[in-house]
Amino acid sequence: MALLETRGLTIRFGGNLAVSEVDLAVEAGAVTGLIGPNGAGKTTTFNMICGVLAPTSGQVILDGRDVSRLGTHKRARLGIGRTFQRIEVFSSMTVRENVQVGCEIRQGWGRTTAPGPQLLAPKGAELTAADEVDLILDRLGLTEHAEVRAGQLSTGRARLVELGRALAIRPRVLLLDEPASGLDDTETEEFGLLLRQLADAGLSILMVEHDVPLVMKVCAQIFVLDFGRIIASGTAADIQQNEAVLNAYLGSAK
Amino acid sequence: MQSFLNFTVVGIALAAVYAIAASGLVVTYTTSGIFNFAHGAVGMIAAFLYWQVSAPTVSGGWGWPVWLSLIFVIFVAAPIFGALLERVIIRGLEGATEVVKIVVTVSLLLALVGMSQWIWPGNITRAIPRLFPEVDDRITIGDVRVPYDRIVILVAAIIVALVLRVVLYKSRAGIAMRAVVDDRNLVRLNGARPARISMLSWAMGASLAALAGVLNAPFSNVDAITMTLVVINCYAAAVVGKLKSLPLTFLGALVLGLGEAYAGSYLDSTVKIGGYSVDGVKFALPAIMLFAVMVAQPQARLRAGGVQRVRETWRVPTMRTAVIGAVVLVGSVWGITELIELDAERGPLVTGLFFALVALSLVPLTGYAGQISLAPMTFVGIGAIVMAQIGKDGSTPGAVIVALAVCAVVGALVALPALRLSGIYLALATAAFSLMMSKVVFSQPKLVSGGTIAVPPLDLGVFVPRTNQQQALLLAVSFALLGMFVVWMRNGSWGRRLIAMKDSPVACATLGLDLTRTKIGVFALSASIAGLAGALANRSMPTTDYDLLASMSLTTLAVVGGIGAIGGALFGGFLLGTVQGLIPALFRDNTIGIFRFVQVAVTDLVKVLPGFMGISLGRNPSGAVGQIGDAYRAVGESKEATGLSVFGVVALWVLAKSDTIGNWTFVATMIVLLFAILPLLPILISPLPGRRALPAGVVLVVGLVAVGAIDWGTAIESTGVRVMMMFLATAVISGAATAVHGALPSDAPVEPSPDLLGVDRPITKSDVMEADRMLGLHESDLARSIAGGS
Ligand SMILES: Nc1ncnc2c1ncn2[C@@H]1O[C@H](COP(=O)(O)OP(=O)(O)OP(=O)(O)O)[C@@H](O)[C@H]1O
Ligand SMILES: [Mg+2]
Repeated sequence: MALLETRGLTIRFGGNLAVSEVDLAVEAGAVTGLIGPNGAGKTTTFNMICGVLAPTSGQVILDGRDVSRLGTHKRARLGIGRTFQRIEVFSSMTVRENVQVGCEIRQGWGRTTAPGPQLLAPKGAELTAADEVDLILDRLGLTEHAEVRAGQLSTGRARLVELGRALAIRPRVLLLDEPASGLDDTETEEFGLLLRQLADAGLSILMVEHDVPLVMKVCAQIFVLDFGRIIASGTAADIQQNEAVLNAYLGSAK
Repeated sequence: MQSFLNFTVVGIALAAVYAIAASGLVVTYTTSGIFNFAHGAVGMIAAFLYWQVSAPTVSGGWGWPVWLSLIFVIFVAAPIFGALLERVIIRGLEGATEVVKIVVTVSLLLALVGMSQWIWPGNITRAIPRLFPEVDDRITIGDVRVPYDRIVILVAAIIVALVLRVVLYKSRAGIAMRAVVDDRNLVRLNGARPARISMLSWAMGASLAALAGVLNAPFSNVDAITMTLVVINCYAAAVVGKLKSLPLTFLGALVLGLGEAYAGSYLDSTVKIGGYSVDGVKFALPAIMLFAVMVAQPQARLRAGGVQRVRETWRVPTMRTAVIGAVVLVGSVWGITELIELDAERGPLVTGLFFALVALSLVPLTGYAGQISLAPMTFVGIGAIVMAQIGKDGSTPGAVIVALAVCAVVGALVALPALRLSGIYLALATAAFSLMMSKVVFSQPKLVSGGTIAVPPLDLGVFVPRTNQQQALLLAVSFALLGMFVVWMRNGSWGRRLIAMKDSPVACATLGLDLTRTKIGVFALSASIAGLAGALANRSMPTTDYDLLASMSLTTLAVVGGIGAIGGALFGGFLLGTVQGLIPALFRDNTIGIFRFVQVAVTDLVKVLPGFMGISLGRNPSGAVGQIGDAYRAVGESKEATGLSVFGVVALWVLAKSDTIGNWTFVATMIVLLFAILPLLPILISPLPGRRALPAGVVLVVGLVAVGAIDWGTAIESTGVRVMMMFLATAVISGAATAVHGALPSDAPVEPSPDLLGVDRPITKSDVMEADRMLGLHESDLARSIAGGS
């Protein structure tokens, strides 16, 4: 069974039906893609999954449990982590502090909930909070920028900081909103490898991304959203063949 | 039954006034994004202006006819004033933090109240006659008499409602106005001009405030504070409409107006519960309604709109600096009080330290967590009452602890409903709480007898503050200890959490942080620090010391001082202490002739100072202390400079203590030392190549000696002018030394100018990203537009 599911997720802003009857399924330990043209409703879907927006109807189900009624912080405690399309780093803090705060916040509530898999760490290693911060910074290639104020980073780095911060709460599902925009080609390459490793370590990832080659490469399963509706889903190969998807992306191909 | 109907008539008319005022507030808030706390003050000024132009010449007015006065005030003066406010003050606030936005309009309120008291002093009574003074100017429905002027108010409200409806939904400008709310940048892209629209909305808002102010004036005392607060009541009505919906705002106004009319007639001072009169509740109705509405509202949506670039920056304080600062503070206070016999009255030193302690309560709340309170002095009042009640014949240390606990609990209860909502609601809730406490609790003779609270001294057995020196030391030590505590907290995980919450609440929530609980915690901490100040006040405190205006002044000056740092609280506290205590004392009889024909009494000037200082915040949101800190940071970093300055200060003190130099000479040389010599010291010690350090040093020394040689005590009559001359001399010395030395290095980091991108360095991908980010574009948009072109 999928670790994270949405059932009939729908939201209406005034007369605008931004997301309609969206059913997603994110398998455990895999990278799932959510793609679609601008304004398709991808970010809005994310916001509903993590509780920043309340859906007009529909449910969010994490590991068999309906979390639709819970507040954002409660969902985070159950294991939903995320990054933002429009940067939300703690801009007056250093990169290290950004990740550290994530660890500390988790330690504040972590006693009551079972910790998720200890990602990135060598198997069986006991890590102190400081080690964990160092490890995350190291894995994301942020060590040399650790003392820079996050508000001064380029977009690409700021996204990595957000990723590091989200990893610090040891999520079970990670929602990434356009994580690779702002990275150059080699960085994107490395980023793809990192995603694979995270998934292999047991993390489930749902990623919105416009870099189609990246999505095709790392995602086991892809959902395509257009005008708030799922128009296709399947493996990379399926999607590349799909008539509706080609239409949505390239206009009616005549 | 008949009286009930009569009250209904009164209530509906009152509701109409609230509705008019509140709709103005809503229009400005939704279009410009700034909640105008000075809305009531604008209405008040309009009422005074109306009096000025319409009153007969014998009583000091200009004797214009009523119709002309009405047109002039409501349709000419008020809109122009509103537009000016927008242009001069409000426009600069785009991109400022919520705290700064709130403080600036609160300051505007203070400045307007101060100015009105200055232009229209309260020494004569100004009555604004009713529009229809005759007894038979009324219609009678059944047994109920409805005077014409109440009908006029109602008709005015209906016209306002209709006009707003048409303007906002039918006219192009109105549609743009409603659009601005959602996204300024989008509106700009679509060809409308948000700046122009925002100006228009402020003009409309001011007009509506003026209309409400003038219509209500005949039924109210023509007094700056009363009239300002009347319109503040309409905040509650606006909150019913969530500061957005005009129909709901009108509904809120109706409920409020009727409620007040009924409560006003059925509750009087004879109604008591357990010896406490419930009379005040009728004045607290708006506050009660505000809270009720807030409790009923669902939790605010988090916004994930991307973080803004912060304009204010704070260094993380280190424990080492905190300890040094604490020692210096206590040492200086001791040194000064050893030297100068404090007056029998509370001197500015004690007052300043007291305010500093209250301002310290805002450092974690406002400086770290980015939340605001307009009720710090209310918690001072609560702390004082607890101390007075429990400590009067019991243990005072115990009373202090109870005061801390009570303030923490009350603070949490007050903040709980507001904190689930956005920042502006906390400001409103605390303002409402402050008004409510003044009306309901601080007016109880059982608690505040004779209008004052007699706060007993803290009896620690070995130490009881009886003299002013002891009181100053007690406050200084308390400030020092609490300051160290706050710094310690800031460096811990909770402190980081507060900063994180200020930077991005939505990110904190997605990390699993319970925002409401964290905010409640910091609010309770803040309330109890303020309560501590009240418990330690050690004097009898009149109710004006902890009313809403006192709180507003304190919060304003704390933010002006620079609330992100402990030093800012100290500075802000002393600013307020100086404004309230020192300046009026120094310039007791002075007036400053700006022009020959405008003589401004200094004491009047002082009333408007906090307001103007607050308004200036829009330009420098980090407050004053950041800049001051920058000037002296180098001194602390150089061992020699630190050593020399400590030596200089101690030497002067010893000279003064041993009566080798007079006290005025001490003050004068101290000013030169602190403000001219110290900032230059580091660069004189490690001279820059090509600059003349030695001659500059000689200039400073000669200046110091020269100032020391003047017999200040007798040379200038007025104390205030004397101090001003000392500062002038200091400025001259500092200027001369700088001129001799040659240009100073500027230590501000030079940020590479984006204009020169590609000219002085190649464009990199990250530059493009940065530009996109600032323009609010996504990379995908660009990618698509490129793809579309090919
Ligand atoms: N708070 C809101 N109020 C009204 N409409 C909204 C709101 N948030 C999103 N929308 C609308 O919902 C639709 C989906 O927006 P969303 O940001 O989810 O798109 P997206 O797929 O993330 O696009 P992009 O690729 O540009 O990030 C858009 O039409 C947008 O205008
Ligand atoms: Mg998006």
